[in-house]
Amino acid sequence: MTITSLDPGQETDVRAALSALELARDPVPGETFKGLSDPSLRAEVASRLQASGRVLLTADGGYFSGYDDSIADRLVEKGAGVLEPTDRAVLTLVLLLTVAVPRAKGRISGSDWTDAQPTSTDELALNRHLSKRAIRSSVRRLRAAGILPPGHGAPIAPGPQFLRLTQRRGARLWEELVLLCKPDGTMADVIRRRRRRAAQVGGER
Amino acid sequence: MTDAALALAVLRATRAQKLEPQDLSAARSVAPRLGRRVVEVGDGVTLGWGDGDEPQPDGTYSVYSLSRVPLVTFACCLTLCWRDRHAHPYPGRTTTRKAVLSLARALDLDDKHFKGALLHDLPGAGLVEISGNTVRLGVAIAVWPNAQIEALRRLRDRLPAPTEDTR
Repeated sequence: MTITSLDPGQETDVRAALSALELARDPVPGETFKGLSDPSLRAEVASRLQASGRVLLTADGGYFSGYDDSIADRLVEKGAGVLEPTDRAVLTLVLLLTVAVPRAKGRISGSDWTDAQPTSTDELALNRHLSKRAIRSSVRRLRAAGILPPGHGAPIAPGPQFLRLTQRRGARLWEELVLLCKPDGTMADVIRRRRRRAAQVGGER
Repeated sequence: MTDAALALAVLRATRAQKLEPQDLSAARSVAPRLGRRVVEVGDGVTLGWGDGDEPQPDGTYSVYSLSRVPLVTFACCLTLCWRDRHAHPYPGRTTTRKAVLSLARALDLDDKHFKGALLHDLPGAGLVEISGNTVRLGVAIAVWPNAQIEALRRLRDRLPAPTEDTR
C-alpha cells in the first residue's frame, strides 16, 4: 500500500531514490537510500515508477528499475529504443558465446545474464558475416548503452543493463537463444507449443 | 497502462520524440511526481529533471562517465558548437566532423580513438548528434541544469580554443 501523502522529507527521499534507480550504472544499494530501505517509501517509489511504465526490480543485492513487460512489448511494436540490426547481431553472438554455450557445457550455472565467460573481438569475428570493423563499432555502441560493460578495456560480456530485465523478459531472451541454437530440439518444440497456446488464449505477445 | 506511462517510456527509450497532444499532456502531468519534466527540443520533447530533483551522485551509487578521450572529444564539440557563452549551449551551432578532428589533432588525440568517441560514445550518451558530416550538440545538453551550465561558463578557459581552421 502506498502512502497517500508524504511530508517534504519523505518526498525528497522518494525522489532521490527514483533518480538513483533511473540513472545508476549498477544496482543501487538499498541501505543508502531511505526511499528504498523503508518499506512504505519503497512501495511509493514502485508506484511512481509504474506510472512511468517502469518497475522496481531487485538485482545483485540492490535495486534497479526496468521497463514494465507490457510497456516493453509496446516499445518494441513501435520500434522505440530497438537496436540496429548489426548491433542486434553482435549482441546475439555475445550472448551465445558468453552465456549460452558456457551454460550448456556446465561452465556457469547461474541464471544471471552477467554471470558470463567473456569473449573477444577475434572470436566474434569468426562469424564471417560481420567484419571486425563492424564488430568493433557495434561493441563500442553497446558499451555506450551499458548493454556490454562500459569502458575501453572492459570484458566483452553482458553488461549492467541486463540486470534491468524483468524475470519474464530474461526468460524470453533465453528462449529466443534456444530457438536460435537448436530449433529442432525438444526444448524448442516445448517453447513453440506453449507460445501457440498462449497466443490462442491471448495471453502472450 | 496509461498513456502517460507509455509516453514517458517512449521518451526514455528514444531520448527525444514528437508526441501526440494528448500523450504530451499526460506525460507533463505525471512527470513531476517522478522528479522529471518534459522539455521541448526542436519539434519534439525530451525528459529532463525537475528543478532541485537533479541526481546528485555522491559516490553512494555508480554512474556512467566518460573516459579521457570521449571527454576531450566532447570538449572539442562544445568549443565549436557553443560560441555564445551567454546563451544556453543547446542547440548552439553546427560544426563538421573535419573541424572536430582538426581540433582534436591539435590536442594530440589519437585519430582512431577520437573517431570512436565522436561516432559512438558521444551519440550513445546523447551529447552529440552526427548526421553525415554535420555535428551538433545532442538533446542531453538541452536538459542540463542551470548550475551545470554556470559551472561550465566559469571553466570556459579550460575548454580547447578553436584553431585557425576551426574558427
